[in-house]
Amino acid sequence: MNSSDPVADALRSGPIPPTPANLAGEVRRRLRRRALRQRGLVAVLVAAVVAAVLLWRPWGGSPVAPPDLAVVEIPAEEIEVLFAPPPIDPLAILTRQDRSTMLALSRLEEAK
Amino acid sequence: MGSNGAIGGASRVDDDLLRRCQAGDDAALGELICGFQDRLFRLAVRVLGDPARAEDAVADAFVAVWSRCRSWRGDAAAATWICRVAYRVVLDHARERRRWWRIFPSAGREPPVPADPAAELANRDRQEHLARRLAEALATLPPEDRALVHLHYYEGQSLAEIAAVLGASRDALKMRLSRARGRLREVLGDGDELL
Repeated sequence: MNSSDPVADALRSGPIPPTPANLAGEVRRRLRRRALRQRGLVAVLVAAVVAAVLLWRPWGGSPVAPPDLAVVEIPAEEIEVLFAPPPIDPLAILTRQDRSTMLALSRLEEAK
Repeated sequence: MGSNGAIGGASRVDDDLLRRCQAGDDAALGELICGFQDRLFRLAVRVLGDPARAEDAVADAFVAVWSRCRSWRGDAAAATWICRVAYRVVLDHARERRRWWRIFPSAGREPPVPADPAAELANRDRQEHLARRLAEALATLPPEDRALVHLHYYEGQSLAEIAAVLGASRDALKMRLSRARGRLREVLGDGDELL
């Protein structure tokens, strides 16, 4: 202790206001407010996560529907033209086959 | 109980109370407040220089004690740990105030002027006059040094006890105390009978 110290004596002689009577009550009030704030913050966070998940819907929901195709009425004569086989001359095909056969035979002869 | 024992001294009662706080015992907090409020309030008033701000700081300090009590491992006495937490909270409040001083340089830096000069003249009590002058001089010290001077000279704690609370070495505190005393001498004048 520094009881004989003039600084200590002067400090002790100075008035210090008394401790407020309701300090314990004030502390409890602050602790309650703090707990409420924390609970509110948690509730807001949970609500935000739930809202985000609901908006996002990771489990899929309905599959994406194909776009509606417009039904177009096509006249029968046009359909015939559209689905008709391409115009091929059967004689031209036979000529081409004969030519290929002859070419192959002549190659075989040369090889012998 | 905390208010009667030395800060650094082991107090089983305080240790038990803090352990009960760790377990969430609300009544233990009430007992701790009763035991420590006077000491912490005196420190806060000395550092902050304003009873209203001191009450705010001490209430915040007990909230901090309650919310951080699980970090107390028992390596320091409960009283030391509580005072250390409170000291930091009070310093935070003092720093807040210093920030306000930077914005409004004219506010707060001046030593407190007596509200009524006539009353000041009427008050001829030498000891009160010295105490007032000392309080004015203390207001010019940084908050950390104000706390140090208060704990050493007012609360009568040893440097070793204060070192445990303030988290500084005994030698560093000795140097700071000497510097604070020199600063007080400077403010009060060389011929002052206090120093």
